[in-house]
Amino acid sequence: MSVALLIVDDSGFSRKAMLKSIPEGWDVDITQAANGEEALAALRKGLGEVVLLDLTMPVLDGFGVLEGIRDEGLEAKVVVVSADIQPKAKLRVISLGALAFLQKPFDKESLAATLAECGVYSED
Amino acid sequence: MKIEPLNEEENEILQEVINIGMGQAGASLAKLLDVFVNLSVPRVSWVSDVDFVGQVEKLVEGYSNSWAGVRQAFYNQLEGEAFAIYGAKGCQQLAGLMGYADDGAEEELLLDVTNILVGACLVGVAKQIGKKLDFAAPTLVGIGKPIDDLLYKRDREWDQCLLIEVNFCLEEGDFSCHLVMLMSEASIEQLRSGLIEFMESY
Repeated sequence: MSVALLIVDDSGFSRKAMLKSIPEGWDVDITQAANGEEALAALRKGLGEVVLLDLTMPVLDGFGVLEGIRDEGLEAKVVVVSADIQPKAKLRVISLGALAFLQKPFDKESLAATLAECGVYSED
Repeated sequence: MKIEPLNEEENEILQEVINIGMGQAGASLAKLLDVFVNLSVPRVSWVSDVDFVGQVEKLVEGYSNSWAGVRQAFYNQLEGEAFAIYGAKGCQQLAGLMGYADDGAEEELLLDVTNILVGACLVGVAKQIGKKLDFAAPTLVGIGKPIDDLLYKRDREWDQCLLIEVNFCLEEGDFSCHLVMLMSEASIEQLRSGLIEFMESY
């Protein structure tokens, strides 16, 4: 059965880069969101079993999305993909329930490895 | 004849590449000031070098009447001049964060912060698009001046001007500044080819 994958980033280029980096052969139904509000709306509809989440975004940022997921009790496995490389940012997203933190810019291999570490994708 | 600035798609990539550079700047700033820095999306716009001072003035209208400016030249595959301009409020916030009282210390702080912001932004961009870049040391152009006083003091006329608005939100208060990047035509072409290659790498 395919996995509902939600890609959240305000940059169209960045979303395209993520789309192109998704492991080949991973059976996913993809939804895209350009800010945190759109992401939460998609999550409420069950469109984000797995989420690739940017942090720095207008309207509602990635921290806000993680808080929303927690407060509304939404089910989502979140991998944060961000240029914010402060150690405290990483600690904060993990404490808010994210499974992993992937630093931008990333490559295909590191995305696949991170998804595998989180147990949402198997490389074999 | 002036060359075309970047098209919409190239600008979108540039915006993201700058965003990544600013993530590095935020982390360095967090370390220098020993605070957590909330990053916001940098706003990027191009203005032509003809009357760029007037256009920058318009874009930053309402922020402040009194500015401090630091200038830093860069050269190699990308060449130009960067100005970091800080409104009076931004200067006070920075000084407050560092607990600096006297003017000499403020000057030093502005130079340090400019070095971090301009360095991280341009090095971040250059590294991602595979271009070489070197810097001269930053120099203070002035403190407590109108903006045009600061921006007229430059090495030469350039072809294009990239204006980047950066806002950092600290737990202790907001701090915002603007980066004005003036570049040569050849550098814009380097930037363009690098961005296209970067895009194709995905």
